[in-house]
Amino acid sequence: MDGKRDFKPVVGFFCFTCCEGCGFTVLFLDNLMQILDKIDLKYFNLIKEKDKKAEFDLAFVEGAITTKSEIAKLKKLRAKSKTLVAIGACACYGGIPAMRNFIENKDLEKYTYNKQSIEDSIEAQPIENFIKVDYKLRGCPILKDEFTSFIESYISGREWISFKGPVCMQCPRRGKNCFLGEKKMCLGAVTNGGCNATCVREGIPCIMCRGPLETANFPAEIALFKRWGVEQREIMGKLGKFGQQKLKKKENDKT
Amino acid sequence: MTKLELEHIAKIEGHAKLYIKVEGGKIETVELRVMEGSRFFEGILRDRKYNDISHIASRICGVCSVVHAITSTKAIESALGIQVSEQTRILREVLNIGGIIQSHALHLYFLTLPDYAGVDSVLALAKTHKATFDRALRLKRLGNMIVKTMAGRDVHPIACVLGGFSRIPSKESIESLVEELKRCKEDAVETVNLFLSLKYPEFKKQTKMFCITGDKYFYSSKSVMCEKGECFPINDYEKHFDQYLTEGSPAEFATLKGQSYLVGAMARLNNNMDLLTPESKKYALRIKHMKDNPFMNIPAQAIEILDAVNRAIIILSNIELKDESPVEYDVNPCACEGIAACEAPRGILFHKYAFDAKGYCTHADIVTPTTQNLRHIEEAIKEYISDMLDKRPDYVKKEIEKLIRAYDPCISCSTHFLEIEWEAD
Repeated sequence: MDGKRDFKPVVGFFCFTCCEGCGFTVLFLDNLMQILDKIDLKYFNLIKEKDKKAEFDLAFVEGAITTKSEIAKLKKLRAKSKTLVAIGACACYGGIPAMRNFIENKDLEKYTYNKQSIEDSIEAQPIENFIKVDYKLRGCPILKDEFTSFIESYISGREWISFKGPVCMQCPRRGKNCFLGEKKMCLGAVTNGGCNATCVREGIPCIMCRGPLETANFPAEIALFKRWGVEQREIMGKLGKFGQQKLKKKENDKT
Repeated sequence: MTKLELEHIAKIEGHAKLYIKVEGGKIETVELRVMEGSRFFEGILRDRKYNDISHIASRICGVCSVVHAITSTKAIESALGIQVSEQTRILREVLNIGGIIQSHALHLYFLTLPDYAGVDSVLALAKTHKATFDRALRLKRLGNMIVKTMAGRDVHPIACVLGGFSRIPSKESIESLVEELKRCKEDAVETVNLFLSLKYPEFKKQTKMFCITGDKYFYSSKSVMCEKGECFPINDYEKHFDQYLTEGSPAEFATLKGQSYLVGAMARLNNNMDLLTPESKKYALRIKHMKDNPFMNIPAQAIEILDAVNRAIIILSNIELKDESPVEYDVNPCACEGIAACEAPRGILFHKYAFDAKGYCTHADIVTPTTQNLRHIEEAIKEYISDMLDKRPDYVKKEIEKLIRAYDPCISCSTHFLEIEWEAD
């Protein structure tokens, strides 16, 4: 980023196919007012109507791309935005919507809603498959602290650096009473960290909502679960909940 | 024939489009079409292990993730024959109350109030009505605090698991929650007064109203009740409510044998009046006679916030929590099916799952409150604007938006903007 800003950045929040939980997380911020004071919020699907002429210094995008018309909208948005940030699992790595890419065709048809949506429909994909993404705020939903730290960095002109490493790095059970030792399928070792291992602290093994870690050793993780006698489909079901699109890409790269 | 396109109505949850066709001065068609990409939820839940279902189902909706998490967990428990303790039931009731406060506070102050204050968004209110806006933020924070204390995170909660909770809230966290509830009590009362004082359009549409009944206003599970007191077991919902799809929209509609019906705050207030705390009942009696006006859903939600705060104070002030372990990892899978229903902020939410002998999901059916209200919304729009057709399109559009927002629809069980496509001669 390029030095402290002496103007209020024009900010927009945009939403494609998702549950809108990231948008709500922003509205749920305790410091919402302080943030609103520092920005010029021009669009937020949930609370503010669109100013069609607006161009954005900073655009936040949640949701996966699931239709052809969404691709066109996304590209237009990119052209109008100086900095574009993917927020949440769906925008960053496909998230829950991308799970549908792996349903067999006959099932899809059975569960298909109607003809029109099928004609326009494409595989659910993260936004970076179509446009350049400047930053990613991961998680399902995003973390309030991470969002705040990002926007404060942006306003003060400091470069924002995302957490590097697996969930285990911040895990209170690390080296002591690791869930894996209890044969509970915790995915912390193969998941992007930075969440302070919230779920583990609440007694829940990591479910990979912050997406597959680029450097993770998936074959070793899968082999471990198989040694426990876990079926392939359960393993893939758990690993693929949020980042199946990325996992699939890795497999394609191999072949 | 002229075709008028009005697009981008913000301040409702989800992407929807409204299609209106006027012929010979009469409205021929009103159709709500959902414009967001399909997520095939019921499809992606299939073949998942029983302990993955709730995490996925909560992602149906960011604003009511709480009740999706609770209802899916309950349905799976019902299928697998898992019993929960009274303490779990109480904690889940409080958790659901937190979700109701989160959602109602957001709908009332962020989405609805701007319509009646004559401003374009809640951001303008932040400047002109600072005290009101601050109250909105406090109530929103209260809802978040309840959910976070009970289930670990305020959106997509995680600690509500099969057989109970992954951890029990600490004594200290319950104490500070009670303090916060007491601090916000006055905010809840002022919310009721504010939303009772607004001038709502006079409009009537008679409809059968349904909610869940039993012994708790926000967390009963006895049966589904119609306003006249007729009840049927929750497990029989498919026999009473039909679901159908329309071409051009991935959203489902549910009807009562072809007739529209209504669920949500007004239905609960009307049918379950006797389960309210005395203070909120006093307010509820003031709007009961206007139950057929869909706009009354707005003050009904405000009264529910007050009841939720009162209820949570009563429950948590005298609670003695003991440590309990959930059964998430000690379940014996079996070929089975289970149904559960909860009162979501917008009305009854049904989840139904079937599993094979190894514990993989073979069938899922989820009926959200908005699915049930959509048909009623369409019919109401048609009636509401029928004598406004000589007015300017801008005016009519605003009125339609107000009416739709009053229902608090949540189209992917969630909406972002509504485009209105208008065909008139």
